[in-house]
Amino acid sequence: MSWYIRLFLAWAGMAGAVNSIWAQVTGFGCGNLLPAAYANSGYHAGSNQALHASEKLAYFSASHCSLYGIAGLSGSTIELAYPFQPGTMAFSCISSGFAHYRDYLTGLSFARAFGKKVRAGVQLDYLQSHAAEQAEILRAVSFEGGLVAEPVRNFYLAFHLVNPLQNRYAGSVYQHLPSLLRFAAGYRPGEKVLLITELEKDVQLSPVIKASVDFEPAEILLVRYGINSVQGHYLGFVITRRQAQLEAGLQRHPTLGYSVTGSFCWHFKSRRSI
Amino acid sequence: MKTLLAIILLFIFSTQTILQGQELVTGAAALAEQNIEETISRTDEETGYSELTEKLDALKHDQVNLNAATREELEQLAILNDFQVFSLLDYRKNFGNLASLNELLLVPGFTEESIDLLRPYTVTEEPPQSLPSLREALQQGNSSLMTRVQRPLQLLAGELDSSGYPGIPARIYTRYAYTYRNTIRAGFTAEKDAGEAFPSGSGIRLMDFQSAFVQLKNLGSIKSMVVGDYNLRFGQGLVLWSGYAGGKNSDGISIRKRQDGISPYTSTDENRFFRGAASTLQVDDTEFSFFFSMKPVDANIGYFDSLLMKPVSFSSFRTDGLHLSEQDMREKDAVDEMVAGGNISVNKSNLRWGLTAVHTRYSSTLVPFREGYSLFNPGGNSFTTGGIDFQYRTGTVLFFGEGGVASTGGFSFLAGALLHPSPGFTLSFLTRNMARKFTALYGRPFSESGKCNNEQGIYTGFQLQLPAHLILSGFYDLYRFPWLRYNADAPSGGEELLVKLSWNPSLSLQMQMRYRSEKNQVNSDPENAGMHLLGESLRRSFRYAALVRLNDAWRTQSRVDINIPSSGAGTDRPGYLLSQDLSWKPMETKVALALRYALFDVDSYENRIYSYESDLLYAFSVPSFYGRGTRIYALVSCTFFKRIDLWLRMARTQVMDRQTMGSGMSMIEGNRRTDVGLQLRIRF
Repeated sequence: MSWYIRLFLAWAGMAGAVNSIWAQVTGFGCGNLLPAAYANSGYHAGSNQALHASEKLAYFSASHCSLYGIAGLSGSTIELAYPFQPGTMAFSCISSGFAHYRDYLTGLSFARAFGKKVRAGVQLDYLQSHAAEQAEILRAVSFEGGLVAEPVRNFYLAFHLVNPLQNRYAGSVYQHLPSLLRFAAGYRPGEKVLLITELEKDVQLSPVIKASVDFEPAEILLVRYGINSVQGHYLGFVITRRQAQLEAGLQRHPTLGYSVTGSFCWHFKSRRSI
Repeated sequence: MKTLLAIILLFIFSTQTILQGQELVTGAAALAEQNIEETISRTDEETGYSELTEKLDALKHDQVNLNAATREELEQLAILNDFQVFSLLDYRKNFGNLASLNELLLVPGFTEESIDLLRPYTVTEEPPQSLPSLREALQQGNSSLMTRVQRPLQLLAGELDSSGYPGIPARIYTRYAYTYRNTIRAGFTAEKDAGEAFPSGSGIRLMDFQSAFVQLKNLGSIKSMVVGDYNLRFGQGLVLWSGYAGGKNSDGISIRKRQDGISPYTSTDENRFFRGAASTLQVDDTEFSFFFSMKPVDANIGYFDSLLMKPVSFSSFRTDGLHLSEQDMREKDAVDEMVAGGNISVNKSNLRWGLTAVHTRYSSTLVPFREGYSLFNPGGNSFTTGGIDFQYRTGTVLFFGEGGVASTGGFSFLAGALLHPSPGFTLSFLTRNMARKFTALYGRPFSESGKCNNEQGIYTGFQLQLPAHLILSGFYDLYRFPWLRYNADAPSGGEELLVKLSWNPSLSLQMQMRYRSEKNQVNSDPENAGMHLLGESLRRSFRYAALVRLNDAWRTQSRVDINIPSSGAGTDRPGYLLSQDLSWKPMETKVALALRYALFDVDSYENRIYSYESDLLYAFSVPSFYGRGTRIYALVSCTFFKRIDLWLRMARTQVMDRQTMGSGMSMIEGNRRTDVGLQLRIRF
């Protein structure tokens, strides 16, 4: 049961959800990590910080994604989260780009549960952008946050807000830092199935609509399929064994082709039910 | 037996009442918000809406006695639908008075939700209704004094230009209100718009607009008497209806206007109200209303007689209420208006009918510009309009309507019916035919154009309660304009369709999805001079909203609006508005907080999206959004010493595609605008 709660919470935040291969990483409560669609270029927010509030154990996670078979175009994340009495603190680093252009995001977040049905979280972001032809590294500070609620049993609603004040890189009027608003809804019709849909809108870009279904055919295996109005299709497999979780996934973009992602997460103590 | 059952119900629900108190206000207020937003999105008119919340606010202090209220008083609650009103009247007639509000569960058509909505505004005991002594009225009456200041933090063009604003750029509003039970009401309102002179410099005026009234109610045969400023609402609004008029609504069935006769004027529209005296006398089943009003109105002056120092003619009325430039000041109060008339309403058990007559005279002659579309606009300085209205109920069908004639010529009517064939299912129909020559200067009937002439149409709507806490509602309206209109150089027409699905599975969650499509015929090439062929403008919109009550204090609301124009409204690219609300209002503390973050991406002004915002008490903010940007606001309210209320609001809009905001004297250089508002109320 706890698996599904975690999965939902991650997906409800939907760090770019299906469009993001990294959403699979965040799907294990390792949220807050990455960037999402490289097609949007530059910094892209991580998952809903409210997801961390459901964590009972400290964990470390790492992930890597190779995009569209283009040499050097990739993204990587690491995250360390530690739950304590008032809530969960997490530290994350994200790197994305290619040899001549790279974005970095360093985030420090705090998340807390309010009762059994409400979780909320915020994160302070420090962003850097480095292009080979630029002498200076561009820097910006921003914040993001979100909330996940279960107003009716097995029915979930969530929102995630990123860079609400439209902060920009200091010294650059062209570099786009997205201001995002995401709404997600999830429904669990049975113990082994989870349905999620999400709407994401960047103030400067067309909206992205996403939907996914998770199915757990066996206790250690979960299969995930997603479809995204921009990024195409995703198919992923999640294997869980004691304190370790491993996910491998394949995304097919209608024009750019295939991307491969892999992630690993390790919980530092034996797992207990949430 | 009935009393015993009522006592049991009272016991069962007494605990719920305590727990739900906070949500109840939200429910009724939410209905008002929805109506206001829908009305503004159709008409662009932004005044008169404070009446809705003021009425709800006043009802909390002077609750309606459900055992003594007349049909009109029940209708004025604006929470009950027509069939609930009749059902309650029938129940009272057959079984006697209600022992408690919870007994309403025994009344057909009432649900726990509708009882919850009523609870803050109604009682089942009779308050005393006699004229008090002056000492008693002063000691037991409730007074409040409120002042509000609003202004942007950035400098406006009117401030920077030496020939710009004659006064400070702040908008200032002050009001005093006094109520003694449901018998005496008095008030004073003063307001100046941003940039208007302060003090106003004319006569004894402190601000540009001032208004006052005294009202006596329910004193013997005097049902209502107002001296000062007032509104008049009779019949279906075809002949006489000032103030908030409502219109098409997403619930599909709220098409019948509910006459409330004479009521005090407390709004800040500087022209559309009456100033003088009015009274309604009740003799058995008949009510006689008389009114006389004399006040100046703003007008666009046509010919000015420099010897007599007064305008001889004017081309149109000015309704913006802004008095900033020299020309504004010349046209302010340029024409004297006299209005006199009366109404007779007869109430039988299932039939109510009424006669209304109104005569209006101006000190100058109205001479409108004669273009094709305005050929039948009224002219002259004297106008008389009369009408007859009715309402008849038989079984589960309610018929209503109004017909009128005017001295300018033409006969107009509208007639409708509400059907309640089974519990949870209501149908509505309305047809209208308003002649192009017909003139009712204070008419506001149900119509697409917001006017009372040059329109024919058929409307049908429904509301259906489905299983699983689902409610489906909607309407279809087909209309035609027999004569030309502005931006339509030939007789034109259109249609509007709206469907809404609501899901309220629990007190914690309310969701709704709404689809609306509106098709109109307009000039296909309006930029070119000369006559134009008509083309079609189609606008579709979709809305999703989810309100989640997280606990007793916190609630969130997510909302998505998508507008899709197809032609004649800029590009065909959809416009988006996403907003997220978070509010905190604990029951045990005197502090409340409301926050919103909104993100909008709309290509053109024609495709703009409206969104209701929480604002200072009795203030309304329903801004329209276009361009690309974000909007954030925070509203904090708190109460000190039980009698002092303070509100502070800050709203910030930031756009990415423009380097100026606003236009004219209110233009701001830069892509950010931050508005602040501060309001203080003292109750004593």
